Order: sequence, then structure tokens, then C-alpha cells
Amino acid sequence: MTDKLLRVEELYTRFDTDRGTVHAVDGASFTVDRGEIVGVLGESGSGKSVTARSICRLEEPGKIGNGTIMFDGTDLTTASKSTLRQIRGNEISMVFQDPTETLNPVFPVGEQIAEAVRIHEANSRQRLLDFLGVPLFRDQSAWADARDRAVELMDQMDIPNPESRLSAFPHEFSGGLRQRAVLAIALASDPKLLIADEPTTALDTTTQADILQRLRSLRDERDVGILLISHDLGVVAQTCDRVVVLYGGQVMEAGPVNEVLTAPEHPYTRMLLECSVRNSTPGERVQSVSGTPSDPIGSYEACPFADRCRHATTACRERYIPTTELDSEHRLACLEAPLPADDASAHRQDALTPDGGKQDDST
Amino acid sequence: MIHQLEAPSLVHPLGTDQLGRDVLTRLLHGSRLSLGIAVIVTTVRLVIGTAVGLVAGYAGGWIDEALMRLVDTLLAFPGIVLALVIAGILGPSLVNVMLALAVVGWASYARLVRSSVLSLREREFVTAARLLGRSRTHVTVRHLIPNIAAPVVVLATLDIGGVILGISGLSFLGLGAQPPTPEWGTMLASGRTYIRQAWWLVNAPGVCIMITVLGFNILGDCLRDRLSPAQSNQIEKL
Amino acid sequence: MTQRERKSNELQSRTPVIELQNVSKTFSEEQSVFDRLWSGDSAAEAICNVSMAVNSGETVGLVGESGCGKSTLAKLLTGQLTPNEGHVRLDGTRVGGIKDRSPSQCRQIGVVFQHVRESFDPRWPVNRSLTEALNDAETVSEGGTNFNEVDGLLRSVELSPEIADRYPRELSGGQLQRVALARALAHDPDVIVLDEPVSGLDMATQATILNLLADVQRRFGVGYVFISHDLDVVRYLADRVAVMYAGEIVEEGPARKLFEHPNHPYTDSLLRAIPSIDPGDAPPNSLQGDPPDLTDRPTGCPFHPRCPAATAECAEHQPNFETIGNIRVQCFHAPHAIKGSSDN
Repeated sequence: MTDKLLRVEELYTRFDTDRGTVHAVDGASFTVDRGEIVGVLGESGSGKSVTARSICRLEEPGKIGNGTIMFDGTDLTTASKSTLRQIRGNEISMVFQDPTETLNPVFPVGEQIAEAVRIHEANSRQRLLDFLGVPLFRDQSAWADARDRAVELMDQMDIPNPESRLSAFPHEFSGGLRQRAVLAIALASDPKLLIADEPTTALDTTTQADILQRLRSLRDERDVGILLISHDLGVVAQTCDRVVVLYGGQVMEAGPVNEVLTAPEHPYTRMLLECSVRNSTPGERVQSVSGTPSDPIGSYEACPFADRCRHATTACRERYIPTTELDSEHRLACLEAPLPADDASAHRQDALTPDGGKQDDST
Repeated sequence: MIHQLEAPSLVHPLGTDQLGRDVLTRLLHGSRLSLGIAVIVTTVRLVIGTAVGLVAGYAGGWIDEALMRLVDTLLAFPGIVLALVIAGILGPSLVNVMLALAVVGWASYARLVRSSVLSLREREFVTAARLLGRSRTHVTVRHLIPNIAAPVVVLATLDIGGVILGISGLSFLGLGAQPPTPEWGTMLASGRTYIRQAWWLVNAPGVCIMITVLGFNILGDCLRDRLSPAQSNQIEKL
Repeated sequence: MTQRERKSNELQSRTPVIELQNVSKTFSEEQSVFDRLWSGDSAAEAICNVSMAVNSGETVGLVGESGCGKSTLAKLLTGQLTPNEGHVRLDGTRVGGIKDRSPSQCRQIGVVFQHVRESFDPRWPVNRSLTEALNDAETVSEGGTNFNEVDGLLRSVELSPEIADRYPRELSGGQLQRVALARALAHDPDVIVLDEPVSGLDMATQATILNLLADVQRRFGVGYVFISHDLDVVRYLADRVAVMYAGEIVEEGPARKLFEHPNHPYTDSLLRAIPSIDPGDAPPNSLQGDPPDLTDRPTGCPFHPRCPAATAECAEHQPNFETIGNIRVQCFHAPHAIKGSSDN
């Protein structure tokens, strides 16, 4: 248990605003191990992106109030700036939602990948002039090596004709290719942990499937731990091993994907499954829950979901909700559990996929 | 002619000039003229510039091309030199200087308005209004002008300072207000002769011009921050 | 379901509210000098010989990858763009772009834009935006805010009338989406074009908006053109679906039939790419390759370079529409191109 790759415990991140303090992450705990994909599922404002940024210690202008982030034996909440830079550069990589924003439009993609390779090279101190790319002072052989490695990385990401695409600019790439290039940059340092913040939200479903497949093979082949942040149930269901359901900065339910998404125990998880259009028949109404996420100002002394929950009692609104362990993996923060088995799974219907054609790589 | 060139005292806080007139009184009186002219010139610039910018931005095509080449030409000359030439041709008088400064300075307004219109025209709320069957006039008056007002007003406040300097400069050169009109630039010019005997004659209007220009610049900066942070960078680009 | 199908059959016989007839749209003439310098003299064929019709009271879903021409098609319907070839007909009359449409013709089509927040004047409170949409073009006057009508509109989209004084920046995404729908309803259109109306919303909000759209349609009998890349949403809401690829409609038909038994390999690929929310299901299949460069279209069927069922014939000739029941599909091999579609 102690050698998990990443162990986040009782993490609190807050933002001080004019209107008061926003507790974006409010005591979240979870772990990510090598070779597993952990999904963080939540709506906008649930604190999922802030959680990811806090792990990289990019939480500014927020502040980490409490908690520990143990990464491979180092506590990132207390680590020095140089240690953090070292870890960020070499051991944790991050991929963001919009590949167009991540890539610099004025440099060729190959150059950007090669640059990432050079930055991550362990024991080379770049000279300033080389760093600035001044032609005569460039370390030609090192750049040539980096470029070879870039071709290799592009090839691994199945970017067609990597040699000829080295000098192509981001705008000459399609959305899917761009995200693959971003993945190549993220992988240049051979990271142990990859944090992917909505990596496929800006992409078409057809290319989304491809990127998700790539994440799965990273897990299987390179033993990378992946934290996948998404609001899409399908993405989480098809990619992750375990899932953490966030609401109001707190972990509502966490556990193996095939338990949490097939037999959800928390009313919030159930709501998410119910109001998915997939589970609705045309002509019938989509199940929906009234109300919006509660005001993020101020800390929750109660269940953040209580106002929208149909099982809520007065106790839910009044006191701190303890986390109960259903088994060693499956955790739950709800006073009313176990709930009557009323819905969710009963509604499920296998629609849409024209046939049940199985693929072999589903591990 | 008793009080010629008296040094500042309690009776004449800023002294008197070569004709024995109180400098403070003339400064205060001149401020009406200098500020008034500056406001008028800036307003004329703003109106011409906004009109040209709106037409260019909204009409597009060859009209846009023609107007923008004219703007480019104007911007390519140093404004004050061009104004000098125009005022020189028209002959020295306050009205001619105002005319010259107005003609020279509207180009940057036209630039700003045109680029704002071009980006606003692509905004979906403008499209939405067009899809409701609204006329161009409606879209321009109701949507475009209110949305470009903020950056244009900020530009105008920053511009007023420049106009005051321009008028003073041209008056200093003898092209603008003619003595005995109490205009700051003219006062500066006529005081120059006595700079060795009476420093206050030059310094008083000089400091006045400086403070006013500075004040308008600060006002412009504040307005820029206040009105709309999102639109402020458009002005910085100019 | 039979009731739904009967409904769409019934609608077919009437004159459609808006109809595209063999419409093509290329982008080249509208380029500025600068653009032409960049991209040479190539013309991108964004829409290629497309015909479709929308009736009031029905929902037509438009699906396809990004860049397939969905949004261009929507702009042709609303008049933001004019076709290079073919006609757009409103109630049977030929119309051009917004400039050539009368205000009342403009008002027959409502629009809900993809970026809702962008589509409201940031300096206008909600009631002013709604009033602009309510009043006829000629009678607009600032004093003429009809508060009853604005209230009524807000109520019809399940918003409280208090919202009328707020500015767009003060509203949440879901609220703004409702206001956008209210604005589209204000001028009593026959068809509303909805461009990705739920894509930026949370699941719970998305569900309530979908319910609202269904309610509004039942109540006002308005037709929808529903553009989305989310096939689940389209399956839920649409009566008919048109699948677009490279500016062409490759398959069109009743939603339920089309989703259960896709005839075009592209439709099939789109459906297979959706990740199932049941972890036990097979992972989604990606579609290899990229959509074609519209300035350099492949010969024959535009999908053939990516198509698993492509033959030499596909590369040479452009297939014509084939009708299977009330589905029309542009493929030489339909419906046999998709292996296993009959298993289900």
C-alpha cells in the first residue's frame, strides 16, 4: 500500500476571491498506481481541474491549505522549487484539453518535440546560446539526436510520415494529430505519471477513440500511471481502471470502474448515470435533477450534494459526512447508503453500438 | 506701463509680463481657450475618424481599401509637420490651426474603429441581430457604436494632451492664436524674448501645459482600466 | 416509435419550411487579397450538391466530424451564406442570403448559436435582447419593451422573469442557453437552427435542456435543425438524421432506423467510435485517417481513402443516392458494406 505512485490525502485547495473563499478541493483523497488509469469524473466546478493542477503544484492563484501529495516518495506540498521543477520536467507530464492552445503556433511541431526531448535530457547543461538556438552556437549533434528521438516519438504515436512532418507547423495538423503530437511531447521525458485534463473533449469521437486507445496502451506497455480527468461517462468507462467521482471538491464515491459505473452506490453517481442521454429512449424524458451545484463560496460542513439529492435527510445537511469503505477499493461518502436499488442499472440499455463486436485489447 | 516684468509676489502670484499684465490671470483666461480648442479639435477628430472607420469596416471592399490607404498616408507623415504645412498654407489664425490639427489627427480613430468593427462584425450577437432581419443602421447604432465607444473615448482622452501640445506648438511658432490673445502657446512664444529677465513668463505656461497633458494621460489610463479591461489592449496595439 | 414514424411520414407530404436543392458552396471568391496570398487560388468545396428539407414540427439531426460542413450548411439555411449553386427555398419561394430576405422571411428561421455567450451583446440586459427579437424590424423603439411578452418568453423556457434585468455575464451556461432559445422563439419561427446547443453543458444541465427542447417543440410545433457531434443526443432528439462527410450528405433517414442499421460505412464508423458507458462493453473503435482536404477532394466517393469496404470502383466513380426503405445512402456497397449489421 505504501508504494503507490501517487497518493493524495486530504487535499484542500482554496481560492481567496472578493466574495469569499472558494474551496475548490475540499479534502480529496485518492491514489494512482503505476500501470493504472484513474479517472476523475465530475461536472464543471467540481474541482477536478484544480485537483490536477494542485498535483503539479500549478494551483496558483489558489493555495494548498492542507493535505499531502506523496509522489514516488516525495511530498510535493513541501518540496522545494527545484525538486518540483525536476519532477515536473521528468516524472510528471500533463496533457490539456485543447491541443491548439498547447502547441506554439510559430514553431514546427518536430522542433517542439525535440525541444522537449532536450529539456528532459538528464545530465546535459545547455549553454545559453545553444538554448536560444543561435545558429553557430547550437549543439548540432545534440539537436540531431533530439530530432531523431522526436521522429521516434512521433512514430510511436502513429503520426504518419514523421520525417517529413518534423518541419510541419501545428496548423497543418488535424485535431487528432495535434493531440498526438502533444502526447509525444508529454512522453519525451518518459514520465511515470501522466495527467490528462479532458484530453479528448475538443476532439471528434472518431479521433477520441484513438487517443483513448493510446492511453490504454501507454498503461499496458510503459507502465505509466495516468490520471484522466473527464466529464464524459463513456470516456471514463472505456478507459479507466478506477474512478473517483468528485462533487463540490469532495470525493463522493471512488472505486473500480466496473463497480462504480455499473452498480453506483452514491446518489450523485446514480444521477450522473440517469441523466446520461444514452440511458434515455427517444420520446421519453431524460431523467434530470433540478438545481445547480451549490455556491462554491465557503466550506461544506455537510454533504455538498444534499440540496439536489432525493435521499437527503436533515442529518445530511448538518454534519460532516464520513467516508465509509464498502470494501478495500470501493469508498463512499454518503449517510444514506446503502440506497434502495431503485434505478440506474435498471435503466441501462445497450443502444447504439451496432453490434457487440468485441475487441481483444480490453484488459 | 508701471508693472512691467514684475517678479512673482502676493499681488501677482506669477508675476507680470512685458506689458504689465498679470500672468496668472492670463493663464486662467487662456485655459478656457486652450482647453476649449483641444476639446473641439479632439471631438472633430473623433467624429470624422469614427465615421470613416465605421464606413470602412462595415462596407468593406474597395471603399475600405481606398479609405484605409488615405489613413495610411496620413499616418505616414509626422502629424505636427503636416499640420504646420496646412496651417502655413491657410495662413496664421486660430481657426486654421484647429482645422489643420483636426485634419491631421483623425486617422488613428479611423484605424481603431475599423478594426473594432471588423472584429465585432464577426461576433455572433451582431449576426444574431442581422438574422432577425435588422437593418445595417439598427445594427450599427444599437450594437456597434456602444461596443466601440469605450476604446474610442479612452483614445480621445489620451489624444487631448497631444492636441494641447500641438496647438501650443503651432501657436509658439506664430501660426495659431495671435497676440494679445491669451493662449498658452502664444504666451510661451512671446515670453521667450524675456527669458533672461523674467523666467516666470515662460515657465508658468510651460508648467500649465505639462500638468494638463499629464492629467489627461492619467485620466485616459484610468478610463482604459475602468471601462473594459477586455478592450484595453486594442489601444495599446496602436 | 411507430407513432413517431407516422408523424414524420405525415410531415413529408407537406411543403417543407425550408429546403436546400442541390446546393453547393465553395469558399474562394469571398477571400480577401491577403487570404489568397496564403492559400493560393484553391477553392475549398465546403458543401457539395446537398439537398435537404425541414418541416415544421420535426427535428432533423446533422452529424459528422468537425470540418464536414455541418455549420456551413446551417449558415446556408439561415442565410448567413449564399450558395454558389442550387437554391434555398423558404416555403417554396427562392431566397438568397440575409440581405435579400425580407425581415419576415428572416424571422421564419430562428437560430441558437454554438457559442451562446458570444451571441448576446455584452452591454445589453436580457430583456433588451429579447425585445430586439420580439419587435418587428420597423417598429423597434427603445421605450417599447413589452414586459409581459418578455416574461412570457422567459416562462416558456422555464426561467424566472427576474432574470430579465441581468446581463449575459451574470448568467450560467444553462440559463443563457434557455435565454438563447427564448430569443429564437420570440419571433415565432417555423424552424430553429440549433448549432451544438448542449455541447458545452454539464450532464444534468444537458438533460434539462433536452427536455425543454422537446417540450417547446410539442408546444409551439417548431421544427429543429439540430447540429451535434454527440450522436447520443441526436439519437435522443432527432426524427430524421443526415450524416455529413466532406460537405456531402452520405446517408439520411429516420433516426431510429439509421442508428440501428447504418448503411453507410461512415455512419457505422461514427457509431462505433462512441465510448459506451458500460465498462463491460467493448472499447470504442477509432476511424483511421483524416477527413479529406476540401481544396483537394479525392476522386470518386470522398470516404473511400478511409473506408474499410472500399473497392476500385469507389475510387473512380462518385456513387449516387440509393434508396433503401426511407433511407437514402450514397454508397456502392450499401447495405452490405457493413459486416454484421444484420446480427443485431
